[in-house]
Amino acid sequence: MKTSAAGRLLPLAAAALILGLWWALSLRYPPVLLPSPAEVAQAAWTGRDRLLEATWHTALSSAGGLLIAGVFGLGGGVLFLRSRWLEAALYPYALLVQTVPIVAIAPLLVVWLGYGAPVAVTTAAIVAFFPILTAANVGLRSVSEEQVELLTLYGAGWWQQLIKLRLPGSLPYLLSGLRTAVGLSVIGAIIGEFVGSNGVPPTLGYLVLQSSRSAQTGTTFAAIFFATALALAAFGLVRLAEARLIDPWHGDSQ
Amino acid sequence: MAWRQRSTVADGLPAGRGVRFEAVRFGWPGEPPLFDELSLSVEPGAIVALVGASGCGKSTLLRLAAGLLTPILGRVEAPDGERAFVFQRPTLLPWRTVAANVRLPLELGEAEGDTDAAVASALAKVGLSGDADKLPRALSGGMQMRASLARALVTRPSLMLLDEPFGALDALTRRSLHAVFLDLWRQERFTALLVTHDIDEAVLLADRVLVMRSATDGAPALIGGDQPVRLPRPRSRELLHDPALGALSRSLEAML
Repeated sequence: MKTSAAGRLLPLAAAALILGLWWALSLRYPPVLLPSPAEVAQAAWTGRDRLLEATWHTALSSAGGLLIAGVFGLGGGVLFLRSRWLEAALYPYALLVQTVPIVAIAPLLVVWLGYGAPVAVTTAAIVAFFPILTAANVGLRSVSEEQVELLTLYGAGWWQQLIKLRLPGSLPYLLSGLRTAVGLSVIGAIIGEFVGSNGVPPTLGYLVLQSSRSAQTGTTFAAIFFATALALAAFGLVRLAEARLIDPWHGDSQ
Repeated sequence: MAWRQRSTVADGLPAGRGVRFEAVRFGWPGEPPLFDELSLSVEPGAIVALVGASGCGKSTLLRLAAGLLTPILGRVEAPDGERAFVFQRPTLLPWRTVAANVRLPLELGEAEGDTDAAVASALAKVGLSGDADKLPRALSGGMQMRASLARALVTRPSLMLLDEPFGALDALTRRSLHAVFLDLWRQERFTALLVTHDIDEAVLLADRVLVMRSATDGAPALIGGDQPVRLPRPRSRELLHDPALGALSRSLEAML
């Protein structure tokens, strides 16, 4: 891709255009329906302490969920690699986890776990689990037959092959799965917070819901922007990890 | 015999056995046997080339010799000590540096002693001392294959099994790797079984050339020819213009 001046300026121009349209539209509607960019900025500024605190707690829940999803996703991948039988028996249910609507489970989780972060952590874990499991499942099998033969020839057993060959070989797949999973984990955490957070401590899910109910639409918008920024930052961290860990060796040449 | 002329090497021939296949039967499940009653032997310290059409079972035979596959019937004997396998592709682990790739067999074997020195020495023998810290991706195909040879050497194997290791390289790189390989063999005195489909390569490198015929109509694959190559060593490419060698190449081609 050409990284010309135009290539850099065009997204900025598009942003300016969208902002302009938004502003124009907001003049026609009451702030409760559509606050202007300035009103959103003001809501963000005045509520910054609370928004930042909420972002921090939502980030913690997302990260916690991601960690659990990572342990179970990677663990599941290793288990499936070890036993085709287990894979045949359990994979359909792993798919089920993916298809059950998370919004429907969340209230049940409140019944079980009560109000607080555990609900958001769990919903984040549930939505982030499947992409990581899939990535692990594919990645752990991505090694070539010759690589396996090589390790076998030098007496490497199953675990040694896992540690020396399959786990490092699956890293590009895992990080790519993680890229999908981080965005989902933020969404999952916010959904969990919709029902499982009572505002102590504040969370983004709680702020979105509470501010929209009390007609503070500017705050709702601000919370949405903070949530987006959180997801983008998490995504950026994974990209950074990919650039540092994978890009030097991962390519067509092998 | 001419190949005995390398007397300096003969003094140091490995004391152990060479490779022996005795009445080996092997086949994949649900298929007629690929080999049946297959016998062959490779003298200790010799280079034996195995030529044949692709898909005739050369690689399978090599994997039987490596112990990666087990015969259904019969016996496969290999020299005492380490075996090394060089694949058609360099098969380096892309996340490991060249040196770390070469060290891998020592790690897996939990080798004692100075592994750093063993790695450095193997790299020096293939001319990659300056590339130890590079990732495989930064290397050309020929250099990756050198690294692959260094990895095979690092355990000081008594048997080297090579599965068309030079087949994917361009002609010039292939020549330089032939020279590297013959150098290594002179220094290390391993027994080598080399699979190739290049007859010139076979006669240039080997003491003996075995010709393998494909399995057809349910009949197993077999060794259809066994030609000694009576040429003095060290050999150079000029030998390829030798009329006697031309006749040998032609008779081998006729057997294919």
